[in-house]
Amino acid sequence: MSGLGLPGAYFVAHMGAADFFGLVVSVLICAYLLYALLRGEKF
Amino acid sequence: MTFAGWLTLFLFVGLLTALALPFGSYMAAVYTGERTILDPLFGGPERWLYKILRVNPEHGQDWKAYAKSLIIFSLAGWLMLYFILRTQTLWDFTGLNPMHFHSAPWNVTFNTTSSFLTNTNWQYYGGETTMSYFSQMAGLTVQNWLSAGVGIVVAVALIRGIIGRSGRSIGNFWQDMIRTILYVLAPLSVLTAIVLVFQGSIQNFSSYLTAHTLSGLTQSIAMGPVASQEAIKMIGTNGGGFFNVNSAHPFENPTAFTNFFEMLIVLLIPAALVFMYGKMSGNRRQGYSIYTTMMIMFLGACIVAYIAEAHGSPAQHAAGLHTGVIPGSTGGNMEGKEQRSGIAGSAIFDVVTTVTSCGAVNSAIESFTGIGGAVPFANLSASEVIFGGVGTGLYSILEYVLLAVFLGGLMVGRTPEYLGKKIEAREIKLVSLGILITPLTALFCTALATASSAGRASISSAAATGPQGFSETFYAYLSQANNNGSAFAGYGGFVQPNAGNVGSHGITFADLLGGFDMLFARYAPILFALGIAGALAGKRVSPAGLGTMRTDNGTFVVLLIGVIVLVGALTFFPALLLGPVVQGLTGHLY
Repeated sequence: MSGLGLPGAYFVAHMGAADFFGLVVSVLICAYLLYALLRGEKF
Repeated sequence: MTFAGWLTLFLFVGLLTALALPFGSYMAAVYTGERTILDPLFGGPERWLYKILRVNPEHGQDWKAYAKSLIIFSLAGWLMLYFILRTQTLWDFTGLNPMHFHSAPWNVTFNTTSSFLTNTNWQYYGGETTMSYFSQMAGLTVQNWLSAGVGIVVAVALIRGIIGRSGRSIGNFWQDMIRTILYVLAPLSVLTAIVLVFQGSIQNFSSYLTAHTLSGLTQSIAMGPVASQEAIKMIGTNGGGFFNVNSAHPFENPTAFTNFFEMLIVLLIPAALVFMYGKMSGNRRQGYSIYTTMMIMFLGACIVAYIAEAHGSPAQHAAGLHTGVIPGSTGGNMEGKEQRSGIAGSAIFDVVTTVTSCGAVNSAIESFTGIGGAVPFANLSASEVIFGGVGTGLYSILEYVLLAVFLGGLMVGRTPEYLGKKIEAREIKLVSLGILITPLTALFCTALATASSAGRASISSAAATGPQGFSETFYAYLSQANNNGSAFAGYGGFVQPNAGNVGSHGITFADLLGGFDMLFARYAPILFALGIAGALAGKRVSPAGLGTMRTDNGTFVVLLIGVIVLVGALTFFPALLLGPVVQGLTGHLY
C-alpha cells in the first residue's frame, strides 16, 4: 500500500459511484449548515 | 459475579471521591495563585522558567491570544516529536537504543506524532519492537506530559471565562502550562512511578534479556524505563503503552494492587477538576452536581460491563462452555483477560479508560461479549463527558451544561443564564459546534474507511466481513476522534515483518486519515471551548432571581444526563446497531 501518492485520490478511485455521490452531497450540506450557523458572527 | 468484584467497584468509587475532594481544592489554589504546600519546592523553578521563557505571569490573555499560544506550542511539539522519531538512529550515541532499532516509516510516524500530541496515544506500532528508549523518553513521554497539560489549561481557561468578572482575560497560557506541569503532574508522576517500581515495574536502560524456556525455546524479554512512562501514561489519561499489550504486560501493571491503583490515578485529576470548578466558581454545589452526573453514568457503565462479562456471551453458552463462578475462578468470559485482573478488574479498568481519554487496556476489548464491548462504544459515544480526559472532560461537560441550561430555559420560557451570565445565540452556536464536531469527524472518517477498499484493507482478515470488521473500523476512528487510543485490535496501519522496522511499511490511508481524525477532533473543540470562554468572559453578572433555573440540584442532574444521552444516542445509535448490537444478538462467534 506504500508509495501510492495522495490517499484521498486513492480512496476515491476505490469507492463505489453511489458512495462517492453520497459523500459529496453530505459534505456540501454540512458546509452550507456551517455557513448558515456562523453567518454574521464576528471573531 | 462475586462479592470481591462488587467490593472492588464500590471501594474504588469511595476512595476516588475521598482523594479527589482535597486534590480539587489543591488544584484550585494552584490556578488562582494562592499559596500551596509545594510552593517552597517549585516556586524557584517556576520563576526561573518564567525568566528564561520571558513570560510575564501578570499579563492576562484574551481567548484569541491564549489560543494562539496554544497552537504555536502544539505545532512546535508536533515538529519536535516527528523529528525525534524519524531520526531514531541518530540518537544512538546516547546509548538509549541498545537494540539498534531504525525509525518507523513516515506515515506511521505521522500517525504516532499526531497521536501523542493530541493525548490520544493510538498506537499502530508495538513499543518494544519499534521505539528506542530515547524515543520513548525524550519523544513520547514528553508529549504525554505536555498534551495532558494542554487539556487541563483549556478547562481552566473556560472556567475563568464562565466565572470571570473583569473583562476579556482568561489567564496566561504559559503560566498555566508551567504551573500544571510543576505543581500537578510532576509530584503525582514521581509518587506513582515509585509505587509502580515497588510493585515490580521495571526502570532500566538494559538490552533485552534472553530467557530459555522449559520447552527448550528462547524468549526475548523487553526491558526499558517503564515505570516513569507508565506513571504519566495513566495520570495524564494518555494511555500509550510502553509495550504492545499495554497494561496487560506484567512490567506495566504487575499486580492486582497496581491494577486498582492505576484505575484510581487515571480518574484522580478528571474527578478533582470537577471539585476544583466548584471551588473556583464560589459554589461547591455546582461541582457536586456535575460530579454526581458523571458518577451515575460511570457506575451504570461499570455495572453493565461487569454483569455482561461475568455472564459470558451467547456464543460461549451455545458452545457449552461453563461461565459460572466455581472455586478458584471468577467464571465469566475470560477470553482475552488476565487471571490477575479477573472479570471485575478487567471490566472496571475498561470502563475507567474509555470514559476518560486514557485508552490503556489490561484486556482485549475485541474479546469482550457483545454487550460488554458495547460499553466502551457507548462511553466513547458520550464524547468524553463522563470524567473524560484530563481537562477535556471538564470543558466538554461544561459545554453540555450550557446546552442543558439553554434547553431548560427554553422549556420554562425564560432567558437562559448560567452563574448569572446570560447564554445567548453566540455561545450556543459555539457550544453546538464544540459538541458535534467530534462525533461528526468520527462518523465521517468511519464512513470513508468503510466505503473504500483502501480503508477496508486495514481490517484484520479474520473479521473481513460482518459486524466485527465494522466494529473494528468504527472503534478505530471513534477512539482516535475522542483522543482515547484504545482499540478493537485487528485494525492495522503498520506492517512490520521484524522487530526494529527494517522492511516495514505503513498503510498510508489508515495512518493519514487517523492522524487527521485525531488532530481535527482535538484542536477544533479546543478552539470552540476557548471561544466560549472569550464570549462569556466579558459578560455582566446579574444576581439570581426567582426565575433563575438552578444548576446545582437533582433536577438539573437528570436534565444533564438526559441531554448527554440524547445527543450521544441520536448521533451514534445507527452505527452501534451495525456493529456490537448485532454481535450481541447472535450466537455466531466473530
